[in-house]
Amino acid sequence: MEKIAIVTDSLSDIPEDLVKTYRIFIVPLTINIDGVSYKDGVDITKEEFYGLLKEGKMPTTTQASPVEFMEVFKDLLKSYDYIIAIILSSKLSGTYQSAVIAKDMVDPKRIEVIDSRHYSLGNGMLVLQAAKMAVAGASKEEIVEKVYDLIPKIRYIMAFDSLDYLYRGGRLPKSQAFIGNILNIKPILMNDDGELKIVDKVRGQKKVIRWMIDYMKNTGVDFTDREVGLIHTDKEEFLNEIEAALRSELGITKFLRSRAGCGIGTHAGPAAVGVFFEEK
Amino acid sequence: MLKYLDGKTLKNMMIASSNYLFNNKVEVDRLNVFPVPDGDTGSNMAYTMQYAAKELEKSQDTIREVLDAISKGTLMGAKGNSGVILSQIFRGFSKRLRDTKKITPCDFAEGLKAGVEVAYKAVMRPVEGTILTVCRETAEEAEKICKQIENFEEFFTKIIEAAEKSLQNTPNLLPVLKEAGVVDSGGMGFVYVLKGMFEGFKGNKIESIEVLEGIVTNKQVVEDLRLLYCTEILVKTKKTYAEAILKEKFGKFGDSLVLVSDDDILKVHVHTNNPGLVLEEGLKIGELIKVKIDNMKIQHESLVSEERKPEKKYGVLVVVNGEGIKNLFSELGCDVIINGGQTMNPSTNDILEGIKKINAENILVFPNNKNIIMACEQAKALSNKKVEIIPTNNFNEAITAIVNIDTEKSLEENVARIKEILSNIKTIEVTYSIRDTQINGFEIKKGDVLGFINDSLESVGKDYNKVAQELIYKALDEDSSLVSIYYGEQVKKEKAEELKNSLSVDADVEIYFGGQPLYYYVISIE
Repeated sequence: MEKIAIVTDSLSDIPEDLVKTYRIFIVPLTINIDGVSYKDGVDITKEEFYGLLKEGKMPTTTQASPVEFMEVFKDLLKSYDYIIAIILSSKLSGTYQSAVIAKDMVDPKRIEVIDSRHYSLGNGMLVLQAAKMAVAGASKEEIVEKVYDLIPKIRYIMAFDSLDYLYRGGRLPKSQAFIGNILNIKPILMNDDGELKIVDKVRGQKKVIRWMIDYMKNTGVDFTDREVGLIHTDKEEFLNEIEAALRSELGITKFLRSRAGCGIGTHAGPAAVGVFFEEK
Repeated sequence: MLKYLDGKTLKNMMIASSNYLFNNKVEVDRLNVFPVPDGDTGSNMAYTMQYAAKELEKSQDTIREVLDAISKGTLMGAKGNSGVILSQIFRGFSKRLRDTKKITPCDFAEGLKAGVEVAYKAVMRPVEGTILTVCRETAEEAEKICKQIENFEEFFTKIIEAAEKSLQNTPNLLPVLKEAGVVDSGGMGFVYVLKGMFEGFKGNKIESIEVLEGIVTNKQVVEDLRLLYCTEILVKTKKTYAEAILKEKFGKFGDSLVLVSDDDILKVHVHTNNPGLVLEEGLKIGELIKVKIDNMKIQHESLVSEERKPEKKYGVLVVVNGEGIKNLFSELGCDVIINGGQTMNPSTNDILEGIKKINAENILVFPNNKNIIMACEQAKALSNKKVEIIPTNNFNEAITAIVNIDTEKSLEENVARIKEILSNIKTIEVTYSIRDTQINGFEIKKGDVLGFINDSLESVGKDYNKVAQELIYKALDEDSSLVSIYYGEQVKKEKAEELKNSLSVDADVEIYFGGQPLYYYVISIE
């Protein structure tokens, strides 16, 4: 049986315990705060990061470089036969580009790099699926096929108190204008083939929850046995309310809950939540 | 006149280039709008080049060693998207030329070509109008001219010209640049790399200057232009001055001050409206060696595309009353806010004048009062613009409607959506009676508090908070998830908070200062 290593980047927001359980290898992006650079999740914890964000710091991110991937790839190929790297949307970060360059320089025949067209737990769910299959002994072809099969099926609904962070980091084009932080107006965003798109705006948290549940009901999917991803940056109470509503209104019992890492936190800001699920 | 480059020259060129780019990185950062406008292109490219320079310091002077150091250094230092692309350009360049003994202009051209090939291959979806285009067109020009040109001086002058021409053309290839009125930042970084190499070739020592200001965003570029002239002087000073004194001497003329001194030579860079004063101050402390004054407005304007912005798709006019409410609408981005309400109806002409001021494809008008709808309709009939009246009775309806305008959808779709949403809003008004009367079977005394739900009198009392609370409970149903309370000019904030805290409902409750006359509260249930 071939040994397959699953690699991703630090913006996949997979809970730490699952990273360990499924032996997922994470290449961190760099977080820059006040001229100091930190490796996401390595040199700085989420708690430290959100503390700094609260103080009003304005972090930025830098994509993982080809060399950073080369080091990880070279190291893994000593003990694994094959590497599958599932990387966040190339439309939002050049990290995928770096991974591909590294692949070509290390050993293109033994490495597959996938542009997931997702981010945060959207990418995380793909990675987890791949990692579970690798542990169970699936072949690289089976894993890659499954990942590509899942990519168009994963949906997420995200709500923000403010889009300032997304605009500032350039992850939401200014052409997607939004009226701003008044009247408790909350924009609702979804993933649009690797980019963020404002799909609606509502006033108040209750209407956000209503919107999420209506959307999920309209898919016609029976979510009772499905695992649903939940994520927040620094908005735990709101996430609890969302979870309670999903339990009572959709009968969901299995949740993959995570707090977003520093990379996602940099671009989403402290007041963001998201619900992730497989549609269809 | 050098006809070929040796390892030592190439090394000096790269080190000079690294410093040159570093000194100009802020300018490059400012232009950064693609692929993500995070304002770090210049910094990332400079970082990448610095890494190469560091690697070069350790290397021998043979062409092979120098090129290997450049290739390795840029790769190790590759930071950000543009840094990665730059590293790929140098990777191709170095690989192609590492076995060359002496680099001629045609060799250099071939190296560039190889760099272009590697970079295009490395980028998943090459986009034209970026550093890739600038590098490619430069390489093409280099290939074309290299046979006729034997010395590098002329060769470099020509290829830098080509690079700049290509850079100026980037907005025509990449719409996002045109919209922002800038040239491509990565492309500009590449031009600086070439220029820096040329400086190094000419033997000019380029020192890196730590720029004092931080990274400046695009928006600030325009704001900065309150100071028009980028002024630089080089002074041979009579004696050495402490930095603090120099800062005081030159800092008062403007901002973005940069001071670099090397023995008795001082370089001053400042953005100012009075370049003359800077020169005079320079004369006071020594002899001027060099002066450079750029009008930044002209620099900036030449970058801004000439096309006028099209009209926006939706414009909004509202008729409202009350300080707080006006502020809310202005923050919502309404184009025209006309003062008016129950006792103060604006004229048809007022509304028509308002409509005239709006430069939009579609104009939505919210009368917010039954008595004003007619005037709006008349204004619409008199206007030659595309106007749609949404017959709102209260401003809270307009707030919800405006929040729900989807600028990507057609006017018809938006009107239909707004109408549907408005049908689900309940409006509570709490006011007082100005005389004794009888309505809906209620005996009313002058001064009594009256509570209406959707214009129907539902409660009469003495305490406006109690009446409001009663009606909120009455109006809420299982679909209601938001209660917005707008308190009027007669109500203190504490009273409104008291009302909010007295409610035990399964909905978000929000209070806002409306400042409307006559009505203690206008409450929106949706």
